Amino acid sequence: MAKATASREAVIGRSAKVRGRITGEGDLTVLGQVEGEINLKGDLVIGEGGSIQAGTSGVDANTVTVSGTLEGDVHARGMIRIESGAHVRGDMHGASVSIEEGASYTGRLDAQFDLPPELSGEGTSRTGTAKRR
Amino acid sequence: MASTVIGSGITIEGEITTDDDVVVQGTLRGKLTAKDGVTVEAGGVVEADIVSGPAHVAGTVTGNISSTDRVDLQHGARVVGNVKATRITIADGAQFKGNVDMDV
Repeated sequence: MAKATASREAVIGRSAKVRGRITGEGDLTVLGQVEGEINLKGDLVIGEGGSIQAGTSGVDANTVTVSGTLEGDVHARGMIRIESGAHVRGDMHGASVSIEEGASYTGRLDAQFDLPPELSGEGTSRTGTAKRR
Repeated sequence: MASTVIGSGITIEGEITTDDDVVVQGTLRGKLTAKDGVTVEAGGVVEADIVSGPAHVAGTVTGNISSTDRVDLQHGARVVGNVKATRITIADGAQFKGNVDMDV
């Protein structure tokens, strides 16, 4: 029997495969494989070994933390953390994006940040593009 | 430990396949296949056929349940669909509409 868990928490277990759409209010931790769109009010964690193939519809969540594999575009209201060992391919839109050393990332980063005064001719935010292996 | 939990605020539309157990507190529409146990807790809603090991239902299931082991329909459960299992219990207070196949 599975242990009782906090009621708002969801976990896709290590051996589990989900094909389809996941939506909801709560948080989600993915340790297995998910193929499909994810739309959460809460936080998304992709643990080590976990994988999400979000396709064209992408991932929408409050914050996103990736230690596993993620393919697809991400829209986060809060921060996106790409941790060491993660493999990420897709465009990241978030309040902030961090990429740890040891992560592999391909895509566009779109985060709000303040430019230094000497570059701020066109406003206080702009789109950055980063490529990193 | 490596189990799958669909929390109360979560809806999955699609197919879940796992070698471990699954706990449903939220909503699942589609298909659920688990080698181990499936627990649909009170408040959980499954609109899907379930193929699993032991199944414990205290929530709502609309769909057929096929278990390699036992199926327990607990107090408060509401099940519409056929149940195939080696053993079955239907508790007082469980609602059930469907056929039972105990493979005798």
